[in-house]
Amino acid sequence: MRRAILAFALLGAAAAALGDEASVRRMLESGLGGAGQIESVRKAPFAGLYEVVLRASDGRRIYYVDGEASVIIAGQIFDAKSGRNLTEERQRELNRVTWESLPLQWAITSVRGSGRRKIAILSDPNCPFCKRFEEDLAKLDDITVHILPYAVIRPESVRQAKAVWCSKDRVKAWNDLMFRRIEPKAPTGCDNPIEKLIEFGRRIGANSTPTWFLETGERYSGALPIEETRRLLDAASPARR
Amino acid sequence: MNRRGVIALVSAAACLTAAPAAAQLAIGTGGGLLDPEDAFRISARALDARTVEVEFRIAEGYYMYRDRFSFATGSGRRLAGVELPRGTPKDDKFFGRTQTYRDLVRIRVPVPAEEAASASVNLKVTSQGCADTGVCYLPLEQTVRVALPQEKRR
Repeated sequence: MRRAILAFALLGAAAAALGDEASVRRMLESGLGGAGQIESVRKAPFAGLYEVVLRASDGRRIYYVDGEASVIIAGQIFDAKSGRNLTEERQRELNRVTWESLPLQWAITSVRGSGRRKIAILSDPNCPFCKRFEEDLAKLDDITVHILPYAVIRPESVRQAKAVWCSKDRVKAWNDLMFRRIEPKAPTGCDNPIEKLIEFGRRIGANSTPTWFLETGERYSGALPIEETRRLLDAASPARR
Repeated sequence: MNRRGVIALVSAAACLTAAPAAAQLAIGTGGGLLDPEDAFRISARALDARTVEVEFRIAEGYYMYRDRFSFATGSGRRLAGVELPRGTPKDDKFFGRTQTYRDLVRIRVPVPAEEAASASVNLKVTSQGCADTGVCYLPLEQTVRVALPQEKRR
């Protein structure tokens, strides 16, 4: 619904033909009102279109407009030759965070082997795909896994995540819950980052779980097949001998 | 820098097209994970002054959990007596027994007397679903405004 309103606002903004970033931005802004905030306008590297990035409450959205801002395309652009989803690639670039900015002090961290491949995961104990993803990762060696407990999928996730954090052995308590459905028994009153992690996730627009990050800061959504994840992990952290 | 005319424009415009084309065109991994509003598209209409039918069109490859729906008035009062149709049973050794919906679900929501007296009602609908590609969305809250036919006054 919000998008529909926005689209009409953008259509309404159509004005005289000019066609550089600044004029496209002006044309859009005059029609946008309070519907959203333009973060950037730049010439897209294809089809004479301009890419418009809007910042919404749940993250950034990419639209494309022509040089006159007379039409808006809300969709995804594929390179027909290679099949690459260019919109998704750009989205990933925009969603990139620096690894250093992740609140890893709030993570439940386990290291296997040399720990050279690094991953940080926003994970909910009631998300079946988070379970599958972590089970797959458990098969990989030479990896450091930072679990950021993101208690968002079910109301009981909050209590469970807090109890895990308040446990003596957090890694064991988390894995018991994730892999064996053993409820953590620790009281939930200890100082814990669970609410702060919910805020963090919302701020960066993590609207699904698992959402995960590589050391390069690239963000991914979903339990990818393990071979794919392994390939990405290797590319992000080349083997050191 | 110019890719010469080899660009396929896939319009998944939420506001323009009936079916999100990107859902069918899953090229590569994570090929266009839909925004939750596009994966679970809500609409609603009044069946009579006291009943609203909420409909979700669910994109292919996505599903919603039956026990995760809740309905409230615009002011936040939770509505009881909602008729959730039977879903497809999903038996997970781990997470237990649930029911899910795919494609389309229509849910009848009774409108309380106070709201039924006005010309329209705002419904806050909370739902939660996942995509087969391996993600679950955070609970989604959507508000729909439904025009109500006027009840005959006594």
